[in-house]
Parts: sequence; structure tokens; C-alpha cells
Amino acid sequence: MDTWTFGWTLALIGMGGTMLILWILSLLILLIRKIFPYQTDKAAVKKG
Amino acid sequence: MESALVSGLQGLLLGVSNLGPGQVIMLVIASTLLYLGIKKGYEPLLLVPIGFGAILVNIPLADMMGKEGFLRFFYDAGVLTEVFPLLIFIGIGAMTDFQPLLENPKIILLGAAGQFGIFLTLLLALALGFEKLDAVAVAIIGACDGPTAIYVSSKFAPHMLGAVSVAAYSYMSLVPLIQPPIMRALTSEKERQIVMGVAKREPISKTTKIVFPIVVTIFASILAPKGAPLIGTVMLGNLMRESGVVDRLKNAAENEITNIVTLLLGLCIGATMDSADPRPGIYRHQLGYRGGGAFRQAHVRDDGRQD
Repeated sequence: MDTWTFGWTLALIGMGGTMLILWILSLLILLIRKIFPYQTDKAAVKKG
Repeated sequence: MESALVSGLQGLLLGVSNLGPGQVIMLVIASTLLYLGIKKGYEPLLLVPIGFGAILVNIPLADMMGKEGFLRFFYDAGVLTEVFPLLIFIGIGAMTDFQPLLENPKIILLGAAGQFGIFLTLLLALALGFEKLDAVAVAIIGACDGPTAIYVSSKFAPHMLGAVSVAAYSYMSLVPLIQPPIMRALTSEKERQIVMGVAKREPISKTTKIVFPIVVTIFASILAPKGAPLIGTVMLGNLMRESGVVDRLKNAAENEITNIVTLLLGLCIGATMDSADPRPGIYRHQLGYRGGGAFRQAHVRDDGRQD
């Protein structure tokens, strides 16, 4: 693989791959938030 | 008696007689780094040990990076094994609050912006004639991230560690100088006066904060096993922070470990700036980085060919 093919391949795969992984990670965060929602305040509201 | 005196005096002059022009140049460069760190306040935590390490390694006959030199010991144990940057990453994880990210996961895509810097720098480095792996090490400078630049250089181009680290940290310290004129050029005064409100977000549970580093470690490490040490150490530090059950370890990671490793890492990086280093091109590489692209284009390798 010549230098420029290497450079452009790495750049395109790298940027595309990173965007994809970060997008999946943001979905994962939303999933974690759904599974473990914030509850302390809700409990306080119920008591109040 | 007389001969003993002469021999003693000769011994005193041995260092001077072994001082070459390369060492003098590197001592001047090291002093400049110290000046920038101490007087100008550019990343002093890094530039002071780096500059001093560069002084130590260029003292004739001191052999600091020799087989039994004390800098060689720390370099082999901490830099070649990549342990030092990883220990710093534990500290970074312990200092990082991911709450804003967990509240608004979309902002994770801002991290992708760093990638544009990396790959733009990669293409630029290749255009300037760097070897592929050397260009990869140089590219990380574009992400404005010192510890990652050190980690990647020690993995792919250890001979360029000093130059890449100094370039990365110098670049980061120049951001306050580079950014304002760009911001002024891209925005109007009216736009700059907009006061941004604080968006109300759904609060995040403690469990989410604890589970987040564990899930990210598993997910990212399975996808990119080679990056597991990096992401793993950052997330370990963050888990220690969020779990709240290992405050002593968290405090140690944030303070003592990070401080000690920063000192040793800086010294080791400085120690790679040895004018007598036999590896081709390293000395010129170091000059080339500091001199910028024009200097780099005039780079001639030891074997005489242009690269």
C-alpha cells in the first residue's frame, strides 16, 4: 500500500469508525439511563 | 606530584573536551524549554522536567541514558513498557466528571471533532515525507492530547517520543493564543455577546455513573482490544471516583501518582533528546519539529538522501 492510499484509508476508516462508535456509545448511555433511572427525588416526592 | 596535578586537571577538563556542537545545541534547546516553562508558564509541569532531562542527557560522559544510567532505568521501566502514560490516564479518569455527557449523550459526537485534527495532521505528516508509523505518531498531536501522543509514540515511533511530546504540549499551551483570533474571525461581536442559558436536564442516578465506566470499558475494549489499556485505565480512575468507596485510591491517583509519574515521564522524554543518539534522523527530527515545516523540508538524513 503506497503512502497516500495508506493515509486516506486510515483517515476515512478512522473518522467513519470513530463517528459510528461514538454514536453507538451515546445510544448505550441512553440505555444505561433507562435501566438505572434517577430515583432519589421521586422517593422524596412520594414521601412529601 | 607534578604529573598527578596535570592528570587531575586533565580529568577536570575531560567533560569540556568531550563537549560536541550537537550537545551545545541541545543544551540551548533544553534551556529554551526551561525558559518557556518557568518564565512564560507554558505547560511548566511538563516542560521543566523535559528541559532538565534534556540537559542531563546531553552532559558529556555522564551517560544518563547508558546501560546503567538512572534515566535509562526509568525510560525502560516506564516509557518502553507504556506504563507511565497509562498511570497518568488513571489520574485523568479520577479527575473527570462525566455527568454533563451522561445528561446529554449527543455531545459525545463533539469528541469526533478531535479525529479531524488527527487525520488532517496524518495527511500533512505523510505529505511532508514522514514514514507511515512516524506519521501516525505525529498525527496524534492533532488531537491536542499529550498523554495519548506519548502513548502512541512510545508504541509506534519511540525514537520520536521527545519531539512529539514537546510539540503536543507546546501546541496545547498555545491554544489560548491561537483560539481567540480564530473565534473573532468566525463570529460577529453580537454573536459573542450571547449569554447561553443553562439547559435543565434529567438528573443522573449514581448507579448510572458507576455502570458507565464498566460498560464503556467492556464495549470499547471488545471493539478495539489494542486500545483496552488506554480506555481501561481512564475508566478505572473514573470508577474509583464515582463509586465513592475508594477515596484514598482516587486521591492517590489524582495527586501522588499523577505528580510522580508526570515528573518521571517528563525526565524520560527529555532524556530522548540526546544529541549523541545513533538512530538516524532523530536529532534532526527534534530540530525539525521546533523549526516547523520549512525546517522539516530541508531535512537530510544521515545517509545523505532527502526524506
